Amino acid sequence: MIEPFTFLSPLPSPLQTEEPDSGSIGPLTLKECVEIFWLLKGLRVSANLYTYHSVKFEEDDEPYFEEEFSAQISGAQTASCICEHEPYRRANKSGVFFHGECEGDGVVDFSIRGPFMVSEAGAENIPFGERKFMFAPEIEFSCGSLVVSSSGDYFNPGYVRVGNFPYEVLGKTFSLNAFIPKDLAETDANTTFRYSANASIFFEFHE
Amino acid sequence: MAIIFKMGAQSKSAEEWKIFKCKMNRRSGACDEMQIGFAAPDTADSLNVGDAFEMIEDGTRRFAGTIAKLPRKYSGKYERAELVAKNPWSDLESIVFQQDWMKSDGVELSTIKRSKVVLGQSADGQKIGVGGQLREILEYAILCGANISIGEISLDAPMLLDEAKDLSCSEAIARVLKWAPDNIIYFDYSAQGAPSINIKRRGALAAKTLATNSGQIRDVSITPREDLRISGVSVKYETENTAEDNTWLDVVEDKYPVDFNSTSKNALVMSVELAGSKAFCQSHKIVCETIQPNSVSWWRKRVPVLKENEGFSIVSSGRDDSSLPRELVSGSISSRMNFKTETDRVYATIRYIDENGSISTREIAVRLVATNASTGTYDIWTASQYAEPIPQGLAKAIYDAANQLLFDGQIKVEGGKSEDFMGFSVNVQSEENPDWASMNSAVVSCEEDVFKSMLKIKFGPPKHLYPDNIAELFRISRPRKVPQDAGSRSSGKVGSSRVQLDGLAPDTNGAQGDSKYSRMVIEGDIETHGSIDLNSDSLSTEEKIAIREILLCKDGKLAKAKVLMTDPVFLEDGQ
Repeated sequence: MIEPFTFLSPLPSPLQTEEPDSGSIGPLTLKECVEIFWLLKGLRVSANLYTYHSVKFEEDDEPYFEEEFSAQISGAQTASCICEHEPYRRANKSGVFFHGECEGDGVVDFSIRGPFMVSEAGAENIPFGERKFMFAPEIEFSCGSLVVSSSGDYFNPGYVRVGNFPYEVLGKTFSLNAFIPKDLAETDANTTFRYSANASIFFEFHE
Repeated sequence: MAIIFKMGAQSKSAEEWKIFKCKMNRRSGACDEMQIGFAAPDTADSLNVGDAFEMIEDGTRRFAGTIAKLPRKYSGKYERAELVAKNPWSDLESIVFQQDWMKSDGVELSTIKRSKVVLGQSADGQKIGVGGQLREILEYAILCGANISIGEISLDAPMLLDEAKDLSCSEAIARVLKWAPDNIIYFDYSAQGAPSINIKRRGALAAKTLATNSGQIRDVSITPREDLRISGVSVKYETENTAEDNTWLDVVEDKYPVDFNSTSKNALVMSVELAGSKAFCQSHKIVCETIQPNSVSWWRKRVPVLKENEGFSIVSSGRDDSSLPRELVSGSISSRMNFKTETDRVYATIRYIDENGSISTREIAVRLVATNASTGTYDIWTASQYAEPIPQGLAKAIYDAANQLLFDGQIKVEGGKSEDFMGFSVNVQSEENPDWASMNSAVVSCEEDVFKSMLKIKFGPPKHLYPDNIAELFRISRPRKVPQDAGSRSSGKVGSSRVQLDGLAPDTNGAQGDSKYSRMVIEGDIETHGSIDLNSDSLSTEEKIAIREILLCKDGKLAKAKVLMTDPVFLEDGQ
């Protein structure tokens, strides 16, 4: 149970407007946005990634090129982010809303920025309570040529999305995406590229 | 001589009724009676007390009345039936005289009959004389069923107000006639209908002369009543007037003859009490002060909330209805104090700071009685009863009635009829007594034996009405009671309730308008609690604090609340 409190504004600071993308946690109502900001207790991230990439010409007995990667990642928030604090204290804190570190094969930082108001047409005529809101996750893991990212529409144009990993926040489903380079998606007869991945994010809220 | 007797529904001759005795007794101011005896008692069996009775002789009615008694007499083996009939004077004896009095229920006057009567006063409260009062009594009796009609009433002496209770009409007539003692009352039965009653002064009676040598007169007995002559009349009117706790006596003497000395012998001296005036004094102590709508101290005295407020000022002031300079602060101003009074409303707009610092602009007003009177004590006399006026000529009227030499006596006249003498005076021609020829002595009663044609007339002062000695004459006014509330007969107001209070009393009903606060400080116990200070001075002219709904975070969730706040204004750069 959290310590009861009342803050004279839904959110502690004026919100900036940001263009949403398909990897955003949003669009959210103000109610959802408020609950995420004030009540997010933490999130846990885990991922298992594997890639195998080889090139073997017919005349050769041995592969000309061969590499294999695997990574196991798990992480949680660090003490520096806002949501690490008790809800009633969050209004006085500044910085990134959520910051986490993964451990495993390499140290990877990840974060969730926000909250933001969704940039939308005619927003000046829409009451604050009826605007759309969002959080912007910045999560990215890689293993060989395989990238799992929270980015959606505007990821590196040299990559193609080959899968996604859905997760739920307050009953709404969002997803992480898996990308591989375009040239590995369409290989010749001499090239072999195999991958596998799974990833999950679990949001935990205060009761 | 044909005599018919009508008794009840039967009309028969004397012979048919088998009447052997018929006597008629007529008296001034008393019941005329007829006594008859029946030779055959059974002829009276069909008669009842209360039946109408008339005697008609040669076509002329000589008596009318009702059967009063039917006695039976036994003597050895003989039985006699008799009958006593009385004329309508008996009706006057059986009807209690009542007068119309006004009764007030506080709102309307209505008329009621009361057996408490004030003789000498008409229904509208005006004084009336003897004749007027007699008519009122007789008219009332007729109204109540007395079988009489009013004939000639030819005396109109003044009389004093006389209060009495529960008098029969005959007693009331006798009481009124004390003020005209030389009266004669007789009935005339000759006309059809109800017998007429006549009341006349002795001097107004026609005279009949009888001669002792006519052979008609059997016995004569006449006594001059020098003893009843009076030397003069002195009426001393005493009026006791009351005003508050002071009482004083007024004595006014009315005497006749004018040079008469009331200390002489046979002087009729009467002390007559008249109803005096009664007046009550109301002292009105009033306090007035000048109306000062522009004065802070004036308002401070009238509006309690401002009493100890040092920090208020008058923004504007005025008055609604009056320009009279002062207000009535205490007491009341009666209309009879001859001051002007008007209700007025004085109002002002004030700005003040209350004890906790709230600054308020407020409409205040006070309703008051404006007047041009000044502070002082004013006496107003209120008459609760006016003095009974002194009657004019009462001494002369009594003197005229009692000064003449009266002859007292009786005469037996053979062949006389009572109606030939009732209502007349008689003179007697006698060589031995020449004074009798001009005595003009009024006949006061007649006893007639109808069948024997024998009449005994009595004249002189009627002993049943008139004082038989001078000492009794002095007592004319003794039974009189001075009325204490004669005025209430026509007004419906008893004397003690006539103190009337009117006028305006001070009205300090302060009316305060709505407050218009410019600053409101809400403060409880300053030792333990803070205060709320709402000061409009902290707002610019465009700003307005009102209850508004806002969104907020409550326990981490979106919530809404209503708060007292200004309309949010965007900040510009640098602010």
